[in-house]
Amino acid sequence: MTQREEYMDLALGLLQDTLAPDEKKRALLLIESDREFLAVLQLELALKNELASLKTPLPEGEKKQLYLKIKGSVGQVLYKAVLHTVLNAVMPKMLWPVMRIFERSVFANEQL
Amino acid sequence: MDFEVLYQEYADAVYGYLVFKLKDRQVVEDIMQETFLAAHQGIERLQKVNSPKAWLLSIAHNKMVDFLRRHPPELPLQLESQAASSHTPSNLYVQESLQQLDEVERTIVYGLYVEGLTYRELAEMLGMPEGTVKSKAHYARKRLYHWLKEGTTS
Repeated sequence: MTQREEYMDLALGLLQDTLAPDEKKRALLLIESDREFLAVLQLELALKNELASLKTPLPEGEKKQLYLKIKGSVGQVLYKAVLHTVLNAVMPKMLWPVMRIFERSVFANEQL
Repeated sequence: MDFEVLYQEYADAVYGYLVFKLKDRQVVEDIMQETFLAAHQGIERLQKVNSPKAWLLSIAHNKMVDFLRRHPPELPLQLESQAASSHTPSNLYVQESLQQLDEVERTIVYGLYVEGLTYRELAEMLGMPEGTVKSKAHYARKRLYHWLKEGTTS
């Protein structure tokens, strides 16, 4: 790794506050003593600010709706797993096609 | 950490990543659902992972790759496209600059600057060695520095 690359990581770590205490101390010293580091830090700050605009927040309403859908899917998976285990033990195999039609109908109606 | 907490904490990060990578909001929602369903089924693995965020993003990334395999290019779907929301000129300039990078480099840059992921988390997410992530990140950032200084992508 070159010194410039080391400076790039140090500067980004400083902005993200992920540096160990000794690294942070070094970065703060470099701000005062090394113009190259300062220039890299300025570029990192500019990049961070520019790229922040790429973040698309998930609207709260959609977040809740999605959660309910996911919970619904989880319920379906659990229902199938439990029911199939029980039915495998007690239901004759020839009735399975009927069961699948019934399941499809139930799930389709649940999603309406 | 239970499932609801996991969702509340990281749904925004997963959503943001998928919107960054894919244009179609419906596809994003579908992959979100698949991602969290898979996370629910594998919730016991959560205790073994270093970063829940990187773990979830890796599931989302793999689900997205699977989706793109099942629905190749002819669909009106673009990688790394602009989100449907409004864009400022600055935002468009960043998008344009990012288009000059390859797909992995864009993902790394997004992970570093938007989600604040570490190299290790990105390596976990993308399933590649940390050293490779680091060198790709350095290369991409040097190019972005250049465009920032020049103020142009040409």
